[in-house]
Amino acid sequence: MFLYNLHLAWLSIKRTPVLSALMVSAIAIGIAICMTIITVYKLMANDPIPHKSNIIFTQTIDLRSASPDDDPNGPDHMSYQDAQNLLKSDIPSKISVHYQTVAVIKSEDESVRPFRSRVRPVTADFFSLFETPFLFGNQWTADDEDSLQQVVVISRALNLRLFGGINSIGQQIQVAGRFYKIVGVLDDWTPTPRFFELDGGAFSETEGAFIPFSLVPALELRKSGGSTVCHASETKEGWQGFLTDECTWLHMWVQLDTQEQQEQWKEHLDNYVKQQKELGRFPRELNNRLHSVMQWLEFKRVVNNDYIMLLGLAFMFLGVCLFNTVGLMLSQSLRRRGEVSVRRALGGSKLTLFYQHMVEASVIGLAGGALGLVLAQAGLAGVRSLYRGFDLLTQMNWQLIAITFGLSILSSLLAGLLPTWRICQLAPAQYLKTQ
Amino acid sequence: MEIQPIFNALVRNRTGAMLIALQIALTLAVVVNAVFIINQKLARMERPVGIDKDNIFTLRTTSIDELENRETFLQADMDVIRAIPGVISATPVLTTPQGGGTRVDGYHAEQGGYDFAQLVNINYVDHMGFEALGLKIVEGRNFTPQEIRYVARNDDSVPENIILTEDYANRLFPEGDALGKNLYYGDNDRPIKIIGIAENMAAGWFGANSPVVADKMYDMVFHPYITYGNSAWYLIRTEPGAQNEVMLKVEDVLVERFPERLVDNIRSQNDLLSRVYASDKALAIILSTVIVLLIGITSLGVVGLANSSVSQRHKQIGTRRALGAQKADVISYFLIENFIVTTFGIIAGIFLTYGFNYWLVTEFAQPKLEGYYVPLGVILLLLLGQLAVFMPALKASSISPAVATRSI
Repeated sequence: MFLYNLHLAWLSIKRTPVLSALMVSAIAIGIAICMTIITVYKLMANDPIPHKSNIIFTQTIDLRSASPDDDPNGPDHMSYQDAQNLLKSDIPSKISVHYQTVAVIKSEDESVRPFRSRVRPVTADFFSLFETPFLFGNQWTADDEDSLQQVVVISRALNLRLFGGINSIGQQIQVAGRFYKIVGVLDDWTPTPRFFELDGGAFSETEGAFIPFSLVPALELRKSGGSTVCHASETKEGWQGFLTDECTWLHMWVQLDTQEQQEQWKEHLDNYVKQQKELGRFPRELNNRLHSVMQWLEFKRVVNNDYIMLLGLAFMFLGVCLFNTVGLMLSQSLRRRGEVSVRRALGGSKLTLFYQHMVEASVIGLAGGALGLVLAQAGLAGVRSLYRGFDLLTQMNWQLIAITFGLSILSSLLAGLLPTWRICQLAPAQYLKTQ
Repeated sequence: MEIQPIFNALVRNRTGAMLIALQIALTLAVVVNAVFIINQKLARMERPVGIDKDNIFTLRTTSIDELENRETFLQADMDVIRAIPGVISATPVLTTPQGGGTRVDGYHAEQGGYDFAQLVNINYVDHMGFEALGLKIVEGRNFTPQEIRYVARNDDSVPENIILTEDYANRLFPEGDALGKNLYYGDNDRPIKIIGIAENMAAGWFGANSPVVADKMYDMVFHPYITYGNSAWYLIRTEPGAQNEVMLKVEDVLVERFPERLVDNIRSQNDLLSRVYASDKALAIILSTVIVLLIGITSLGVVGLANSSVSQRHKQIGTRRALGAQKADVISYFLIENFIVTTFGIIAGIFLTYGFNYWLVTEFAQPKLEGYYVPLGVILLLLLGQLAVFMPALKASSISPAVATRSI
């Protein structure tokens, strides 16, 4: 029956090729515009680490000076001395403190010209907390970290540039004038959005070199591509002075597996701030906050407002295409009153006819979806060429392709509903008389 | 003329008309809001930046190894750059103008009055800085070579003498007598003297959309500083027409002077500004595409429906013609019909348009829709409807009166 209906649909489409083409393209264009915007939107609002996003947290503690500042939210970042103090806690299962800097990287191979690269000092937990995939080797150990070993984990891209992509474990590279031994090479790793560090753009690639955070006091590598805010009016001299200043600049994430751990950590933060208050720091009222990954992305408004706006417009656009298709289907069905009447007179039930026309509508929808998918790729290529750094946001995955077809079939069924219902209501006798 | 019968006919056959009206309504809402947003983006992109953007470019130099004397390094670099033919002037800067990353701080006019509302963008220039930027000193004087001091990159100390932009001077001293007055920094009691007031220059956050800085786009303070982290930014102004040539030559000149370095990010200021505005431009292009497609689809819908209604009423039209209606009467019938349908669509569309704008205003703090946008949209859609229906109407008018006498 289904195949027969498919056959009928094909015959009917062939009979009115222009009208059918118009219907297919109306749906296709509506779907293409919608899917282009939905794709970018979905990826902006993506959960970058779905299986543990509810147990990873970042916290803000408010060390601002008592001067009037209306913003109820404290600084986004952590100061070096607070990070150091909080790192000592064994409540979280894992703690990552990190920031991004830029340094000149030199290979021992003279043929590779020195170049600037992102360098990220991180605590050893960084890799396991964020589940970075390793291509070769592994992260450094806590012992390496404590004993100030100069070890480095490099990204796949960096490994390609420095060593042509071979297993480079054990080799040495020079980062900002010091030698580091390579202990690990990461595989491609592109959490979207790059939630653990939104400073340098939420949708940028993660690449470069990762070095132990314990080396920071010796290195004098300034943070780059993000904000450093100093809250006291007096600042101390030099790098060592900067590290003890009331300046917030570090990212700190913790993994708290259980509800109990989360409660304990909140309490620990409160106690820490109270204890520091006794030392004359933290002049403001207690204002500690804990954000899970998705809460943090929402708080930092990672989804671009322009895109929410566009999403609204895109759905209205799809609405126009839908009404358009209804109109076209309606006029098509009017031409077929004769045929339908014959079928009814020969014993076809309303249900059979309804089924037949809905199959036809979904064929139109499917064709529209397929064409829409192709057009959406063109749309995404267009978006990619318009925005810098949107490469990660303009790739459709299977889920989005499924949404495309689901949306187009749903649209065409909705569009087909009214014309089909109407044609099923026909009194056949009227249209049989004159033939 | 004969509006009542046309209206009655419409009511009897309302589905098609309602579909068209709904399309018109949505089209009005989308087109008006999209044009409104596009115009805001265009206005944003046309804001003046103050500096001589057509003749300025910036570059970054990074030394491969640690430098011994950063101050003399910077001065030697400046000497060779300024000697390149076609260069008007050059200066080391803290960051690229309007490039985003920047130093932000707050000064205040009264001792001890710490106030973040006086947030300001700080840039570093040497004594040639204003010439390099293409900014005039409106009042007071420029920095002298003796005043220029080398500071570490993360040093946030303040100098003894500073120069402000006009906007910032007027913010601190609304009476307009800023020159020669003292400013204070943080809790520090040391006075900082305003020795000059420069023309407005767009701040580092020029590309940002944050309401915090919306009215501080030209608030800037210049320090007589030069600085070097593991890299430095240079800003170079050339004579008109000489920019490309100098941009090609500058890396060689710098590497020849000091080979152990990397020179990159050589970008004209216009290129940099186009990056700042990339997302505004992108949105404008996306919205324009949407508008064109939408108008196309809606017109096709009107044509399609009119065509089918012409073929449906074939006999009826013939009968009217046989009874004495002129061709013009047939055409005007369809035009009036379309006018009625479009008007209903537009009435619904106006509500939808303001509804969508209300959502933007409340959710995203966008400006309120006002002025001529809605009336223009209404006129556009009325014209569009008439244009789209004209061809089918012409076809209808050519139906022969003889049709009336035939059986179907």
